[in-house]
Amino acid sequence: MAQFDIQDLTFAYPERDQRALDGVTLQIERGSYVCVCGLSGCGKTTLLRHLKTVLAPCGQTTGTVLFEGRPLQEVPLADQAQFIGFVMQDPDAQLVTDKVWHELAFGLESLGTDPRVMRLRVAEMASYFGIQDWFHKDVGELSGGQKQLLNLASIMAMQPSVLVLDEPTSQLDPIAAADFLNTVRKINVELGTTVIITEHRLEDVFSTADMVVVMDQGRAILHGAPQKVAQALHERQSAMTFALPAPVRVFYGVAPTRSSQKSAWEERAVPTQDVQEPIPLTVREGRTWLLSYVDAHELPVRSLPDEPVLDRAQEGAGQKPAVQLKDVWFRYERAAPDVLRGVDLEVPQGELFALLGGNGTGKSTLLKCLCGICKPYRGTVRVLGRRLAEWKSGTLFHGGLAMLPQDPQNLFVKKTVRLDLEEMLPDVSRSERDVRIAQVARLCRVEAQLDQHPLDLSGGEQQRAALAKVLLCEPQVLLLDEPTKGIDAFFKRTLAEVLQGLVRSGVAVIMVSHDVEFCARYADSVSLFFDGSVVTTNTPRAFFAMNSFYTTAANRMSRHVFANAVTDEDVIELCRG
Amino acid sequence: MVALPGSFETFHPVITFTWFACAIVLTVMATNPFWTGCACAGAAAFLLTVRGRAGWKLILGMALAFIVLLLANGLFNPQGRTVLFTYFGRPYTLESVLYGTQTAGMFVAVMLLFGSYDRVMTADRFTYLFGHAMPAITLVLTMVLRLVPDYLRKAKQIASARDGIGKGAAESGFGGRVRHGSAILGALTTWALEAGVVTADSMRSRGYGTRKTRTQHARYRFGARDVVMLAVLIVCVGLAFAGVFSGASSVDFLPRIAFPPVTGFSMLSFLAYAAFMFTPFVVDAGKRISWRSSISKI
Repeated sequence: MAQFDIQDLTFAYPERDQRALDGVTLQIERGSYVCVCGLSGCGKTTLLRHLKTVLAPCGQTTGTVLFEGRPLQEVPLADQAQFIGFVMQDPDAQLVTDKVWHELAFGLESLGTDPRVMRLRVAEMASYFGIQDWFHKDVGELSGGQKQLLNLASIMAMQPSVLVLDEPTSQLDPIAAADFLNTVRKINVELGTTVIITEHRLEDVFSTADMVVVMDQGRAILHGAPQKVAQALHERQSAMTFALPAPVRVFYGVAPTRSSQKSAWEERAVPTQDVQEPIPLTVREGRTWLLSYVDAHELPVRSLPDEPVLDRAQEGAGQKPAVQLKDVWFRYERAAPDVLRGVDLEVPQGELFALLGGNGTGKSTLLKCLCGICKPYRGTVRVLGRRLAEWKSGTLFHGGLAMLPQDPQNLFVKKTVRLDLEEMLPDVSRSERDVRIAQVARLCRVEAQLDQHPLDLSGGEQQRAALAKVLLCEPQVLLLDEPTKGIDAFFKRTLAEVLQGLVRSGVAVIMVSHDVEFCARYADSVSLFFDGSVVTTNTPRAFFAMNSFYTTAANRMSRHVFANAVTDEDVIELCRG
Repeated sequence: MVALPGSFETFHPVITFTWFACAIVLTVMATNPFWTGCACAGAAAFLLTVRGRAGWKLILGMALAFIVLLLANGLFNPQGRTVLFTYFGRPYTLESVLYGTQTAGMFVAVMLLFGSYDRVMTADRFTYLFGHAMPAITLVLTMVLRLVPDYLRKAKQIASARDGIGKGAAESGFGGRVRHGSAILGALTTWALEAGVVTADSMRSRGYGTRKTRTQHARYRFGARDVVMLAVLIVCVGLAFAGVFSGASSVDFLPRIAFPPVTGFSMLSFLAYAAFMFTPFVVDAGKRISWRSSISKI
């Protein structure tokens, strides 16, 4: 008997014509690891929420969901609370109480568990998840990654048989996300708990899943083993292929020439086994595959031509840099340690510059120093050649510089996107205002969302609407704090196109990011930020080819064969010879 | 500051709460300057062991309030036999000032007790005590305790996001500041509603309200030392209350000062009261000394 048997589930939200779920039929086996993926708004979350009665959205539902053979509605709510664990996206809002220990006990308290049993369970979970050290802390003191682990632990304390996770890592940085997903994997393997997860960071979950379900416009269009799904997606030329792990994309990127060669080989009666060869899902499999591929094809070129060395002194001789920092030191409080320790940095105009680095190294603080929110106690910050103090109040943010914060929601203060945009143009005539809003909406591709409530938009749409608002400052220097956080692969491409358009028009875009893949593909220059200062600055290719750990999947998979291939395209180009 | 092992705040919440409750009630009921002076001294001593140097700030503030209150009482209360002087035809009497001293002392003692109360009876200890009797209210309390710092954090984030696009408070005059504040408040409200929906989902998803009885995670054990402490407190409190009800702690100020007769029993109840008020201080000071000597051995 399957754990969940979903039969012809159809659902529509009230007052919407389009079905959010359309005839979904799925069997989820006990102990399996199921990854549900699809573009934003495809119905993943709606599907997951139907797996627990109290979370199921209101609307018109037909079809049935059987939990261990019984219709879900007939399973008592207390049993559902215990056996079906649900972890949501927002690490903060999910927490109910103020103390870590109380959060762990909350579910058990609600279920009326005997205090002696509860003591044991709480102690057990705190030990399993390594929470002992912060057991007595206030939840407010925890980092995002710790909060989400706590959410997971407090659900595991109830000993569920199924764990449903709805984009659990979208608010976390990559290291905390990997840590979280490893724990989920460990629970699945060691405890046999069924895992049903939606994720846009497919690199980490695609290869570990037993079954991948692809959703599109409310339908489960594909389901099966990851390799089969990857193949089917490729055959359909689906937009979802952008989200697949790098080894898969490289494999299929190389494939067209392979198939044409295949026919040539057939004439020469070369065995065509490699058509059946397994698709590489992980970097390790990718390395093995690439090595055999290169050996079989005796590729002549093993590296891409070197790019000219990045020399800021020479190229910036003619024009003044967009941003210039000299020996900048900053600390938040008199007694606190230094966050910035002598930062030297120069970014020319018309460039997409990415600042990479670990958590808490001071990257976001650097951005705050650039726009004057934080005041350095030593050193100078120049924007467009002028020191920050020389900008008269208010002029800096009109045609000078503007910042998109990490959480774009923080920028929305009005009922619709249009009103929010109008807030930026208080002293402009009605007709001109409409023209400028139309322009910026077109640039950021939020024309269709102008009259919606900002918080009703998807993550990617919110990001672009916030960007539109920031761009109404007409900045020459645009600061972005983690712009790709919580956005799926498809929206990342759209964002990149918008940013590249800005760069072409001469804007300097400075972004702080964890997203190695995004920076490698789209940035013009990359710096590593460590221990309060900029360690190195280079072109993405030279930068990532030098690193062995802090680099792209494509580079890690190809570095034993190719010298400086950084993106999927690089690897594909070299494979084709 | 981490609680010293074995200090008063590490006793079972029943003990610490009983002490605070009885201390406040006894202090308010006693109108004897000796009793009240003893309460002030005990509360101040405990405050200093709990809060360290930061406790002096409250003590100095209270000393100031003490002087103001005792002088003010003379202005508002013209009763009493010994007239010190008259102003605008109203008498300013010694008894009235002394009565003011007594009430001011009582006020100061209670304030000093509250000064250490929130340090010792933290929210989780309080909710632990009353979770059985009123589960819904205590849950609301813990949620509120979480939300307040959360709201402040979010308001800061929104403000700094607006600074980054030139819409910060510093950019405009008074009208701008008001608009700025209301924009933040509006965004904060929307955010709070959204987050509230998620929290409610999370609670229901974890079985909140599915069972009639909520149980409680038992974090504290009522150990042997708690039993001993409870016995000591019961004896002291019993004697002190007996003294209060027999009138040993009552002094008449108006129209003239009349102390109750000093008897063996009144002395005993006063000593019990003094022992009670100084118990936390003695426990902490004793532990501090023994801990210091044990550290020097380590």
